[in-house]
Amino acid sequence: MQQYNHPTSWKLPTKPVSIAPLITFRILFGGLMMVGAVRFMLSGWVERLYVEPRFFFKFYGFEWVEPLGQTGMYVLYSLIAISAAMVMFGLFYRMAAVIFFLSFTYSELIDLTNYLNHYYLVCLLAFLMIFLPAHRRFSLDTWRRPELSVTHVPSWVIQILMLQVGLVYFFAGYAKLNPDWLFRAMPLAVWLPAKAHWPLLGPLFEQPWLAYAFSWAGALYDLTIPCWLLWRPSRPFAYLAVVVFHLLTKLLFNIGLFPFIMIFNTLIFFPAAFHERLLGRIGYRTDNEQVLYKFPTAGSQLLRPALIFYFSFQLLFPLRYLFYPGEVLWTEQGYRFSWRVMLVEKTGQATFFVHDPTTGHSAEVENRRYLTAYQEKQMAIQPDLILQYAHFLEREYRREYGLESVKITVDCFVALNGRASRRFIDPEAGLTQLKDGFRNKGWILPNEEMGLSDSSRLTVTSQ
Amino acid sequence: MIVLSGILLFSACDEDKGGNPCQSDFDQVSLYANVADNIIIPGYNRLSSELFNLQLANDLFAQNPGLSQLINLRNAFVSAYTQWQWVAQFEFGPAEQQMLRSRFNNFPVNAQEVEAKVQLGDFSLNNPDTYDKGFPALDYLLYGIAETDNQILNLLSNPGQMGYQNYISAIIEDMEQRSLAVLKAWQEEGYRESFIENTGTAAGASLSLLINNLNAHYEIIKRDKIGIPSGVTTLGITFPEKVEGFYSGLSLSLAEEALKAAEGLYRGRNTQSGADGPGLDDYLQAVNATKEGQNLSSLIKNQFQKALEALAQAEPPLSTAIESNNEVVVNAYNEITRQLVNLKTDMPSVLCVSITYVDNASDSD
Repeated sequence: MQQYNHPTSWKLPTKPVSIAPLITFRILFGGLMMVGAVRFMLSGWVERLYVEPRFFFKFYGFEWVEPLGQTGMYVLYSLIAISAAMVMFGLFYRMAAVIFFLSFTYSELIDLTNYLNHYYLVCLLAFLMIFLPAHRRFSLDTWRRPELSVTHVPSWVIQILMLQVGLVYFFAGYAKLNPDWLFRAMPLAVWLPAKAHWPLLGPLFEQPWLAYAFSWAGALYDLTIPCWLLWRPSRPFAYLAVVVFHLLTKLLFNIGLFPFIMIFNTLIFFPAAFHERLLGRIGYRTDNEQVLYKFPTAGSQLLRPALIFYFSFQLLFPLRYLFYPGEVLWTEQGYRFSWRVMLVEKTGQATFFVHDPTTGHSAEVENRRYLTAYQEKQMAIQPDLILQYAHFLEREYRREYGLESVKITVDCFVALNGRASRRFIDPEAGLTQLKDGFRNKGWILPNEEMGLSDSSRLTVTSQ
Repeated sequence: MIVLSGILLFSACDEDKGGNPCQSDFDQVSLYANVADNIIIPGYNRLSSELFNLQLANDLFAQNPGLSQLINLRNAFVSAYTQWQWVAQFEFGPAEQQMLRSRFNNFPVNAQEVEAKVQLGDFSLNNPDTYDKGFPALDYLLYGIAETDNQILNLLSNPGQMGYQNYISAIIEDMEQRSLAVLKAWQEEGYRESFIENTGTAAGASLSLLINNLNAHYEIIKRDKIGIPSGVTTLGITFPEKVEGFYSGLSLSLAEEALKAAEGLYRGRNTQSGADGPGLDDYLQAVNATKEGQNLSSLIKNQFQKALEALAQAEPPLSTAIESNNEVVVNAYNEITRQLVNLKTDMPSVLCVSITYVDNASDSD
């Protein structure tokens, strides 16, 4: 991986390797996504997340994304499920992969309060899958058109998936290197005792040292697991750790399909022989004659710069928090799209006031008139959502009460990781005057209690 | 493997760190036993006997309708409604099962709805979303169906129109039965024991039940009893007729009682002797909770005092105070509101109560 440091002299590693790992990846990814979409519909989440809310929080730059109504959302989720199944079977693969990527990403862009890191990971993998020849063996496409069938692909095809998965782990571990996680065992110290009623293991979860053990082990795991998976002697043990780790998180926390995504994804680190044996059980045959997949020459010109751009973004975007003052766990500036998973137990209360300058009257807003409980909970701890909601209220009060120019302020208090709350937003700030963007939000009040933030930033920059 | 190494790594040095902020030696069982035995059970006991008295007074009135019997009936109503404020915050377990809050105190009452039910002789009390039953309906029926007491007496005792009488009896009987059912569940059917033993910080543990329901109760005081009538959500347009107990004019004292009940639960105060027992304040003390350098336990204690004092500044009835001197009411509202963040955000956070919704809309990560 040393050559990644010298992009000018670096060439895509093109050593032919078996396509088998990519086939496993395609089948498991497509299958899991299909199950996920069906599960989503069966759980009634379409209604709860996309039909019931009156207001939807937009992603910056994607304000044009709108929910599609109940029927529309079911059509969208059916499209996700069907295209995922087509990816799994390798049927009209490119088209299916494009449709899956677009429909899944669209659904995730509808309401920011639903943002989850593992959905982001799915979007990224789906995007990469569009460009990978994952249908060129053991697929309905090669059954339709046997001439498409290949046995080998350039090694970078497999390696970019390893790199993507490795980056997720690395940054997830990196984000855990914060004082709350390491020295206060937060938020696991809150979450683990909640499982004290479990049979057998229950009493263990109340042991104060266990939260520390899990915190440190979790950080160590995330930071180093890609290396253990890459190194052949440690690989079986590392994969066992992957399975145990993710199943444990599945049992302990409400994290849906994420554990399975990672358990499946990490198989990409296994050698071709492993995959050939695995797939052999369901009818995959290896050929003696080697047929190497060749990228279309037009596309291959673009490939290198595109990949450099993509992975530079993946590498740098999670670090943007360094440009903002204060602790990222508190301000949430640069928090999303950075693999900060399970880092905070955070609750807030945001009471908005609409001031009518002409009469001098003001009104406290009843958030539940406009937001679902879940949206309110998410909004109250994230400054950009607070701002977006204030702008929505401005429009709403104009429409409902005919108020042309109002000032909107917020009394917002947030409690983080077992501390008492602190005021989060400048109560004097006229929110409707403010615009969202990448610039520092000076109206977020600092949290001095987060201590150590300066020293942790130093260790970050010296790395 | 890695988990194990982590355990080995850390079991050695966790003793002196003492950094886990969720650790405490506080005896939860003593808190729950105190709350159950000295607040909740006596509370439902008293509510049940007040409702029994109310039924007696209603029977007396029915047998011999007269102004003094009406006053007797109203007094019993006032006592029962007041006592309700002391148990309204325990809407979990048996009370939740009986849906006491919506059956007893959906307010403001919908007078037209009540009249319609009386006219139709439809005494169904099962819909939790209607505002036509419980104390608010009695408030209307005993004080609001006509202008003067004599007119009310005439309407209630008119042998040709037994609808009012019958509806009053149906409401009282329903409430009495439900209150008794809750009391029985606590006293005889083992809910007390399971409540006391339900330790820990998980969602659904007694601590989380108490804190969540204290907060739900507190928000009703803030929003429904004071906020909405005094117009804090409506740009200065007030709704004095939306107060609790509008017709009897009880609103202010009911709000005060509810606030005192919240304070009593917080402090673990024995409702009969008035003595302080193990309460949430002691729990906060035990974990050394501070908020911006101040002791959170006393901060909350003081804020209860301030809220009660501010509320006492208003002249009853609340509906008149809103019309004549709303600044005082809004001031009380603000003092009550200042406490909310302490109870709702700080207390669960520092006691490490898991606030994760049982009924999560989706996955998390």
